[in-house]
Amino acid sequence: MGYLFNALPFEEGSRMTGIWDAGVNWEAGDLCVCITKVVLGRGQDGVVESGFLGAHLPYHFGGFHGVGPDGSPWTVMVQVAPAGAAERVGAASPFWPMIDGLDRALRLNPEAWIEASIEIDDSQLLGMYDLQSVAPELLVDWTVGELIRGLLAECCNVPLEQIAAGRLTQCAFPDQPHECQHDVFSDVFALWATMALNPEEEA
Amino acid sequence: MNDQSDLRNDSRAVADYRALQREQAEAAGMPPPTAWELYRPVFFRLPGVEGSALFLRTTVFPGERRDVLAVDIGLLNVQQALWLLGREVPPGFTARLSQFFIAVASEDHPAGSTDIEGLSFDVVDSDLTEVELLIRLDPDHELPLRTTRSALMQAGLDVRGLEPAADPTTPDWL
Repeated sequence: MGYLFNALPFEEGSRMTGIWDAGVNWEAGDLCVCITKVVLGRGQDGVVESGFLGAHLPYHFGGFHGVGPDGSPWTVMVQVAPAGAAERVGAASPFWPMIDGLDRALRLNPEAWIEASIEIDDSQLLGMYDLQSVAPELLVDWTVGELIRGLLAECCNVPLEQIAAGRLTQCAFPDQPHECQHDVFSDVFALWATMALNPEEEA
Repeated sequence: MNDQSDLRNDSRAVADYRALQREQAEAAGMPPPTAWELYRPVFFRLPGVEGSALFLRTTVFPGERRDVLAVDIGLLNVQQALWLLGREVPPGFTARLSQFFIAVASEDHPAGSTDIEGLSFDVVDSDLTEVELLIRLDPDHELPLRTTRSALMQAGLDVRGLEPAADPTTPDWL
């Protein structure tokens, strides 16, 4: 289980059905991250609703979607915004542009609602890797974008340590035959899509 | 998707809302609310993966023609939201829309153009999981919308809730 699966509420038996990276790159500056679990309407399609929501979020970064044990759909939207964005509108909280963005987007889907949200700044991201015992020296030159992509990739049943080590060579699975993407995060997402990373069924 | 209890989600929600209003009035010792206090418009939505959406919302046709159903039609993309208000729709409009959505979702290679009472749909492209439509109300109001077959199938079921009186039957394939 990845950090995000523990930090957000998921019923036992929930499973991920898709993961995506919007390809945004924030290289420098103070950044804020908002990770929100949205419960979708019954019968709504996680693929189309995630794409729909993401298209209306100004700071959309990526996310993953899935279903609960009873088939009820959910999506987790990840947003990253410059800490100064809130100042442009005089908002007190640096997370306001992302919270408001999601609020506006959800008005276009009245059946969806926010179940939980995590708001963190970039300095707290390293702490998440520390919790998973990733050696700090492996993370020295990581951007905020890479740190978040690592947390998303971890949701594909690949330990953060393996992802951090794989970034050195930009290959996540050096001991496994696979079609290497030459980018450790894309490598994880691509192999997950082939279902090769599914957890083994318990006997 | 195959759960028939979802078939009339919207009309059931309206019925539940009316019952709740009635209960609350009774509990407060008030007279039951009149019809106009109870009505909640039925809202239909077909979303696209790139942020586009087609919305339909029930209303009534202005004037004395009280037997005519009208819908507000919403066309949304990431740049703008446009509402065309109070378009008259003939009986059976939503059943035809439903048949169209379900047919496009199920066919291997959907193609061509379909006009349903002034709302036209061109199937621009399709693959195993997605379909791209061009929805056109008139030459000035058109909306490209790429969506999944799964969402189209659900839309085919949901849209029947706009006009329940005209279509009381369950689709025979369910």
